[in-house]
Amino acid sequence: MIIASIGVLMVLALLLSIRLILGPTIPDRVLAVDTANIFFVLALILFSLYTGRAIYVDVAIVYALIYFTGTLWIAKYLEPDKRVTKGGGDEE
Amino acid sequence: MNFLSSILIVLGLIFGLIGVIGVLRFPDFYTRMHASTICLTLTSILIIFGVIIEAVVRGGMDNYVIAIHSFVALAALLVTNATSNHALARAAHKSGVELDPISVCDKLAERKFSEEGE
Repeated sequence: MIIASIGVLMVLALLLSIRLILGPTIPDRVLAVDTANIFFVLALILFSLYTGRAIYVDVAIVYALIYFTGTLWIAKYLEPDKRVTKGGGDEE
Repeated sequence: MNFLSSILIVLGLIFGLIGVIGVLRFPDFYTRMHASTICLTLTSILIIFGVIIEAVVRGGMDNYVIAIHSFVALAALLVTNATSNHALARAAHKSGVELDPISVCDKLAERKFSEEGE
């Protein structure tokens, strides 16, 4: 049952790679990776229940926080830089 | 596994499947993000509560540790999922990702336009 659930989660993450390859814009690809990462975290938690060892849940927490940071950095650099386009030239 | 957590995990997988279908089939980025965010938040709630119930039913020190840490993981997932998707949607709107032509209105663009006009 638990292994079957992990298998279903991995198949769903594999289906998301279609959007990762096809995605017309960069945020689409980021969204696909973001969604697949949630499936990986859930699979790690289920795997921790399967083996009975709590260390995999800790790995899942750290993984979730790290990909959150990665998504925030990508979102920050997707925005157009206001200092370049508007503000910088006026003050000098 | 006991009955309740099996039901919760299967429901979570069904909602995950709905979310993935939404990400694959919806016409533009914002509707895809709507499908992904809502369905996957519910998926993580359901699956992690299933894991918690199963770990508490099994008993023993290791399983209690799994239950508590899973709850912390659920809190982390709920906060980070909503925040990162909000930041990503805002960044996408600012960088000019366009809405599908069948969309009715774009309140964020209207607000930005009226602020620039002043």
